Amino acid sequence: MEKRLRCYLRPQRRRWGFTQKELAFIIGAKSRTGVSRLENGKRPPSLAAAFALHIVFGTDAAELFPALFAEVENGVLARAYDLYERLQGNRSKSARMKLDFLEEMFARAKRRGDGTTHV
Amino acid sequence: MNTLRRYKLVLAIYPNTSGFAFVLFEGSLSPVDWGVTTVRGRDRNDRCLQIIASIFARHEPDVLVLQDTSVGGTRRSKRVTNLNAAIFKLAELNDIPVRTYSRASVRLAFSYLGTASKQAIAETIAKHIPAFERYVPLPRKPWMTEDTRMGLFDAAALVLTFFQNMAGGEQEAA
Repeated sequence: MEKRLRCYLRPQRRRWGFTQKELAFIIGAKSRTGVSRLENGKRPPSLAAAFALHIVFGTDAAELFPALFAEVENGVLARAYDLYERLQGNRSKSARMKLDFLEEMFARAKRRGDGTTHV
Repeated sequence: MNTLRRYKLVLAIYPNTSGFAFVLFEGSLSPVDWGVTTVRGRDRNDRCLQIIASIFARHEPDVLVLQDTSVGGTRRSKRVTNLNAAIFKLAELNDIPVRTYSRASVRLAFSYLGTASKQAIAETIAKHIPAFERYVPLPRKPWMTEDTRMGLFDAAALVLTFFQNMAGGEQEAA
């Protein structure tokens, strides 16, 4: 399903009645301001915060922050496609292996886009 | 085209005596934001509109659902009617389509409950949407004023009425 909100942290937090201060305490953030910035998309989560939020809510970071995930995905896919094009003339075995892997990666991204798999 | 899929984010605003309540749904049973805003003192409507403008800017809803306070709709106080009309205009300025439902339409949507009192509607909504369970007010006695949290369920009932009408094949006006 296409996500419409940029960040699902606020609905998740409010679903269970936590305050920003309480969530900040659980995930080890310094103050509730950090949680507020995450909720409003003013700051991307650190890797530790993403892990902590996954532990708290049991939801993948990609589902909690769909806009950030899409941004990262677009960048990665664009660069991977660039590499794919550059490898095209190369006939070595390792290049063939990389091309196969990149094609599989593009197919995975397409399935994600179609909503046939979960991120 | 599936009308339910067209509206991903549905916002309902229910003005009441102390301010307004709002709920934002993504799908008929997935609330993503909600709140009860209390505004006191003078220029209540203006301050409510400022807060509502910030809600529009934050969430950019696909459709706004309001109570129908027109002559043929639900009778509310003059201030609430004016606020409702101002919200309507604000939504139009932001290119947000607006749907309105009267209290009778909401009761009709929940008519399967038998006596569709506000309390019964609130309890039914809370049963289906666990996030709202903790907001259900205690049954009101005749001498008690209405709990402000009831506005949340009034707004949620508007959204659910909207989804029910959409599912029933209602065609978009205009």
